[in-house]
Amino acid sequence: MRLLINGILFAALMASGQSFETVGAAPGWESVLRSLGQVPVQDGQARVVVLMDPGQWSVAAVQARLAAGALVVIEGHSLLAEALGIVRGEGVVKLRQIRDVASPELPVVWAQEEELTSARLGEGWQVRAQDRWSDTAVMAIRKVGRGAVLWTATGIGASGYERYPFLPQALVASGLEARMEGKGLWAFFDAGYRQRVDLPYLVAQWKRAGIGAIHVTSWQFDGATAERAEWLAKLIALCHKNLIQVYAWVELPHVSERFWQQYPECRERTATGMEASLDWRRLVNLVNPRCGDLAEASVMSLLRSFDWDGVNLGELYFESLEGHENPARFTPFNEDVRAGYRKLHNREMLDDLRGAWLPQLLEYRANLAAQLQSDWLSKLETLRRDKPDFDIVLTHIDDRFDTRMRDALGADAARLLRGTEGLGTGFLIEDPATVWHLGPARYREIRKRYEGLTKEPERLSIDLNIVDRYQDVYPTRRQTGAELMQLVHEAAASFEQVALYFEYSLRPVDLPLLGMAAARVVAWKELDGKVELSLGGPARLRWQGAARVNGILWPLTDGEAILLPAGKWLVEKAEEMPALRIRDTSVKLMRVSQSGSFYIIDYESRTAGVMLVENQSGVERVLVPRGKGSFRLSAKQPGVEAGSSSTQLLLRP
Amino acid sequence: MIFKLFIFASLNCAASLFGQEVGRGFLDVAYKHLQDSRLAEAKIAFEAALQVNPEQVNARLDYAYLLLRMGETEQGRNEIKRVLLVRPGEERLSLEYAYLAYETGRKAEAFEVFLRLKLAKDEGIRRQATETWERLDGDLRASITRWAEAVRKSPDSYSVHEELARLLEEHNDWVGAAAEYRLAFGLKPDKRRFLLEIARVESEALRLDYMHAALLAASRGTPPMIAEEARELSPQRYPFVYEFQMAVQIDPLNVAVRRELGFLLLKMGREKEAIDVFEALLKLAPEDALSVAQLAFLRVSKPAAGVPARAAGDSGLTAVQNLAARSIEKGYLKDALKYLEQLHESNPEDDSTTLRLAWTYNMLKLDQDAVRCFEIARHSRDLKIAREADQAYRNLRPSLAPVRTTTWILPFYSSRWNEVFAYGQAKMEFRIPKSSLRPYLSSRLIGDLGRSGGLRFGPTGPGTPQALSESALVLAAGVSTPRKHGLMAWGEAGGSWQYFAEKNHTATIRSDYRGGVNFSKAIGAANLSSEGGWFAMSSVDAVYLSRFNNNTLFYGQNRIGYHAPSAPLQFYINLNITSDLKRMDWANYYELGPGVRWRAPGMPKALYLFADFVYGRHMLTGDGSRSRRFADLRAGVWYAFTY
Repeated sequence: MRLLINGILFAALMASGQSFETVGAAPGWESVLRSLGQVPVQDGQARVVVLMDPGQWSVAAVQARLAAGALVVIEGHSLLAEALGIVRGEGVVKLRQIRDVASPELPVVWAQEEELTSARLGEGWQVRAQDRWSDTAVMAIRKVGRGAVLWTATGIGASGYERYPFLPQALVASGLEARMEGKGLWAFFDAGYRQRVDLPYLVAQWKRAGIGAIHVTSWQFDGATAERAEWLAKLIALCHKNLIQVYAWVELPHVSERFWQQYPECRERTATGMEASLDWRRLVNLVNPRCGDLAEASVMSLLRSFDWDGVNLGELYFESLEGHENPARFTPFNEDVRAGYRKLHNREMLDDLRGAWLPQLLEYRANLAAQLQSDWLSKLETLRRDKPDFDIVLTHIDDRFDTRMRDALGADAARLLRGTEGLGTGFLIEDPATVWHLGPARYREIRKRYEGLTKEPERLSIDLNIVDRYQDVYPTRRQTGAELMQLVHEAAASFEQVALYFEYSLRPVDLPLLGMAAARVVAWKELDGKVELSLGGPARLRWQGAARVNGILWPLTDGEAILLPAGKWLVEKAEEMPALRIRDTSVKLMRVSQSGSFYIIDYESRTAGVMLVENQSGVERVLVPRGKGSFRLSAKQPGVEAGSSSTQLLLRP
Repeated sequence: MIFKLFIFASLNCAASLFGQEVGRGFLDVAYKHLQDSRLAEAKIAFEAALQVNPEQVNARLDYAYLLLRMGETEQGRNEIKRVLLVRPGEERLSLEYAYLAYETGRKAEAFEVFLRLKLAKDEGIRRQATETWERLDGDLRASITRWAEAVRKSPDSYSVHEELARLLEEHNDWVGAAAEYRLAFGLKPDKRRFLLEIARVESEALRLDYMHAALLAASRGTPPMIAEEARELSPQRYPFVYEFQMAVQIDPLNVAVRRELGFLLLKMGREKEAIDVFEALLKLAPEDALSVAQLAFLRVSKPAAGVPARAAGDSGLTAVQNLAARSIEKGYLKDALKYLEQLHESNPEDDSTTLRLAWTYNMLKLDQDAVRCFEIARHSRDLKIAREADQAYRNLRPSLAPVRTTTWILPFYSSRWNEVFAYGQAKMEFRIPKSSLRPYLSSRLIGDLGRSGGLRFGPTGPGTPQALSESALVLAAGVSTPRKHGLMAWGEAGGSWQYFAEKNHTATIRSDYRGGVNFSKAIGAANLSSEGGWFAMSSVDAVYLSRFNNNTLFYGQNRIGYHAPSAPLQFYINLNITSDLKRMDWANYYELGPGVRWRAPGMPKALYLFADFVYGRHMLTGDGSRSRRFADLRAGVWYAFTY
């Protein structure tokens, strides 16, 4: 009787978006759902109900909850599963590899084999994943009333992605909505993979995925034909139109293919004496004054020829991850560097590759890398004379979490951070290949290692390498689905900025979910059409029509969604749209307030920002300068005004 | 009948026409979406159309271009390849495919197409293909030369071989690439993805035997990711014996492949070869329980003389026997146990079954039952069975007995001290239920015969050999841990009687506390009962001794040597190092020198003779009463037994 009453009560309540509850311990599901911006609640109104202990609820109670629009998750065989149409089949299946409809060609391999009784699925069930060898269904969904059931044949594992990487896609297919979306992800862009692509389509995909900036392989356009140059110019223009910023990614000491061919005398050498053409990088001796000048001319010409918003000086140190253990990849061993070492230490570098003098050699190499970084930063700074809003970002491998990197590559993050203090230079930490197999929690750890290294922690960003890992990793070699979402979510929680390497390696099925993962929703409550929420960072809330936020008629809306800064918000319906509104922006929103007849919008932007201001006559693009600033928007009559704070002026170079 | 056929043909024709109609409908939708730049929708419609009618080549080509527009380059490339299979003469499309293949990492294939297009009919295509091929070929040749030189300079670097293999692969030198991948795998056998690389290039080289062998090796090992990828690529049939043998050659450390080969040979009735395989496997993995058991079964498989032969027509028991054998072969030990228990119950006199049952219990960690069965089998009239069971019983029983007694003694003569020393211990250990700790009572002798009245004359004058003798008998109670990963700890408290104390005016009986940790590890033929070969062994101790002014001693004894192939005889080099916390001059020295261990014919297994000649050096200066350098010939006897 009590259960029936529960059921009736549940039916009376409507499941509300962005929240979940678990019945029984479900750490894996919690990780999956949190990474999609879902918040745990215990108010009986959660959108997602994870029933780990189905015996606690009657079938009637579950059906009532389904009727109210909930998404119920169950695992394995149970009386409830039977009532919902999943009965035990004949025979036992050993599961090791499955295939999922979200990416049918991708082998999903489990680290541990699992033995289970097969299942027969009744009418209405859509199979999402099957055993690779027996075709036994292992994950399925079924719409029931206004809600849905998601069933997995086994537990999903403690981290939530060990067995069913495409759970997020299955949840969305079951009706999970993305009410909150984070904004402003960065993505690296390798033009070589996208030569035939339809640019407007591609840029629209990025926009949908919440990408706010791309970092383009600029060296591929050194000496480009007019046609290629035009292609790049078109890409940049399209990105700008969609409020996506475009950075020139520079990967010194690789300058370009053209440079390598044209100046063979500038080629770097490895410790075995061979020319340092390693993987795709063709390394150049930047220590040689003439070669350094030639490289500078080449890079600066590229940077001045296109409408870049900034430059990303990436990985300016030496090769390789194997360090001195592999002399065939160990750089730099050009004549200039060797002569410098001889002069300083009166020894030959080659003699010091082993033995007691090795630390001295590694120190010399690290100092050289630091010197090159400093020199090139000074060169890039000169670009700001003509273009004050030009941003400079450094991509640097982490050597604090994986401390072997300093000796392997000559990379010293702490030193570079100290050396660039006060310059407004962004610092993008790349997690090294050696730790790619560690879970999403590593980003919290990496963040901790950088505490205190800079007085401007907002400079710190993280670069997630989404590539085929060389380690023995499960269930997929390249991060996808639940693992990718958790990586993005954890990274976004620990760093101001998250970059993804690279946009081509992201599976298309993951793109629509990235925004959900980047959202930092701390609390969520929805009642009577009002939403009370707390955000750890700026986000976009899907909201039809006008909205009043904390009592203010909200000016940041396009009618489909509203933009919110971090903080606690009460959002409710408003009767009419503000006369002027910001449809979209590329800046990071810090605070929105109303003062008399003006809205004051405080923002931060690493480069020149854009506000798309809509009034009765159309949409206007308003540029705002880089740094911290305030933007004033009239709350009544048409007209806008931009102003800068003193902080912003201080940040200017 | 003709009518039925007519109806069937008509329905078939109608279905086909209907299918074509449906397919055309999807295509119309696809082109409409394409026209309106709704690419995602167009893609779905194209896929539906091509599913209904996969032969529509023009539609497939348009679908391929759509995929390229959407940035799904690899899928687009694959669709163009499918079109080219139908239209191999389309040179422009081939050229486009070559560029696509190159951009998406299929460089070898791109090279091949460019090379073919050097003979294209169209002059423009011919020229473009030739120019591209020559440019890429020049670059690739230069890279191959560079990396071949790197291989020459760093032959032990797996990544250098890997790099060269990739370049050779790009250059369509499949055999060369396979050789380099195999070298890389040999240098880094834990990077098992190399097996898949080997399989891929061997497939391109049309050396299918090697490809299958590499896939077989990859599919039978860990990690699961590699095994599953290999399984995807392997032929559907079960591998042949020669493929297993080649797999063993490619991946000699792969225990699973060797084991499966052994069982396959058994199934084929090639017992002798199977025994060879299991023996080789056990050298590699001495603790592989399945192989130990199988080898033991094989060695006792013939029915014992005097045991009544099973009645002909006893098909029920034969079937159970087969099931038991098959279960063991597949590693289903619980099933095997069930069948063997049935067999044992039906014929308790069959010692062969009893022994198999004992081994199966042992593998399932049911050692109490295993001991019971070994005990029965060791009384078998079949000497082979009895010997096998007795050995196993002796090995297993002490670890299960409530009380275990271990006695060992080591008397030896030292030329340096011109003295006979004797170490020995009689230890009684007690097994506590549900605890791995073992309390014990111990009586320990650490002393000498006192031929010089407690004072020794070394090569440079009088001295005391504390390092070799405490001149004491120690009675103590203690506790020890089981050995895990070669490591164990112990501690004891008792009293020692020093038999020269009266002469030296020190206490005759004093309390004695000692304890420490020990790490021991042996590889190869370290046991004197081994079959021969190289070996190395190391034993490292840290021991606290109240007797030496509460000092802690550290000593490491290491041996590396060779075991004669057909006799219980070992030659080795000793390297012993001793140090302590209190920096006592006598306790800090090292020794180096050759040695020999030998068990003479007729001697019990627990006994052997040894002789070591070491050159040593004290590491601390001391009081100058003795030389820092010394030489010592030690010869003696070791005897130990446990019950």
